[in-house]
Amino acid sequence: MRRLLALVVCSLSGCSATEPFELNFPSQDTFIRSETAEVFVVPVGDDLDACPRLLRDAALGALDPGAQTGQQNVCDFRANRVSLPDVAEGASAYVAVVQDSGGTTLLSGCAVRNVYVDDAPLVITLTPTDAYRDRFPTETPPETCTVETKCQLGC
Amino acid sequence: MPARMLIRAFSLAACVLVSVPGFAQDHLAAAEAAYGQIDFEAVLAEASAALEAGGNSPRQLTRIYELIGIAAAATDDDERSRDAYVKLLALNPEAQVDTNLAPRLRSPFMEARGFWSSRSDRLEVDVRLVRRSNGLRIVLTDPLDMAVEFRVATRIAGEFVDYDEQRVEAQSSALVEVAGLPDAPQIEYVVEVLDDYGNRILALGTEDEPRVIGEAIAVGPVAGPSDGGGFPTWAWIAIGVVAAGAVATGLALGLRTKPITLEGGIAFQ
Repeated sequence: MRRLLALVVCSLSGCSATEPFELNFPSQDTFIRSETAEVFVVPVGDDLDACPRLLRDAALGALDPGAQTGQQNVCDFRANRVSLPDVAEGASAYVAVVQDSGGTTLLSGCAVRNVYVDDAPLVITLTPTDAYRDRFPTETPPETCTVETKCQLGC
Repeated sequence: MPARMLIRAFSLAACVLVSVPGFAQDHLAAAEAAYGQIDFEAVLAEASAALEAGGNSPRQLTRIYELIGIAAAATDDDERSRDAYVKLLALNPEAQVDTNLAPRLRSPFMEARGFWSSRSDRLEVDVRLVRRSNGLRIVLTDPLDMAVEFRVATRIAGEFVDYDEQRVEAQSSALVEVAGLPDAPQIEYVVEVLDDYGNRILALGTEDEPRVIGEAIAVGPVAGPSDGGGFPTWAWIAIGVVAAGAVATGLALGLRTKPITLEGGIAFQ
């Protein structure tokens, strides 16, 4: 309700409406091992449990999004340089797919929100895929590179 | 007498050592080496020892059953081979047997495939958040009755504390209570399904990379007449009137709700 009121006020006053969203990585190591991320916006209507199906579709490359960020470097997400302009009204699933430099999907996540109504910020919690666990089993030593180094100098 | 005690002590020490997961990997490595030498008797012995030592990951267990399947077929124990292949395919339905093997060695594998092709159920585990019961429901499908125990580790997402670990008997549906529910929006969890020997036949997440379940559900500040707290009813009515007026004014001016642009960022759990 508060957001709706703000939007109405914005409509009347002409201010722009910008909201943040976050990709929530399981750890800094998972971020360092990632290269690109892409977020798809899929209107879901009343199907608020659409995420498992959409994640399967994403794994198969079968998503039919209404909008998407395109593949962006994860450091661009970190620097708040990636946006989704003019997202559709109503409930949508926000499906994130994170890949390494070879195009292997390492992490994925999904959240359903109506950003025009919901007060809670949009946070897409990423979880490792089987490919990630295969490539980086538990005993894999932590990365020596840091997030800052990765995004400023490269690892 | 002392000699007998010494033998017992030695036997006990041997048992303890054999139960350490590291020894399972040693046996698996020995089985692989024997396979390279085409010594199927040794493959069978070492792979079986690796299985019984326990502590193997699903991937290691898959390889162990594959080696047992091949070695048992090579030593003319087709029934044992078929049984191992059936379990191999339970763990990995897409598994293939080495195409270089002689047809006689592949035959039990084809029979195992036939076993599964006639079934619609598959070994799998699913976890659901049941807030009203303050727990996670673990739903297991186990056509071969391989599972003996669930190991479940949980904690509230975002709280960097030790996991709360529980072990419960494996069953088709088990509710595991989780501290912090129903209020915690998200729970981090690790679920392992263990067999007779403590091998992980299924694993969802690890302590380092747990699975996350639940979402921060956005609920508006609804205060019903009986709540007695929050805004009084008249305030909501006033807000409603103001909002309706603003919307009507907007419509009258031919304005629409301004589109929202989302700006991306990152965070770490």
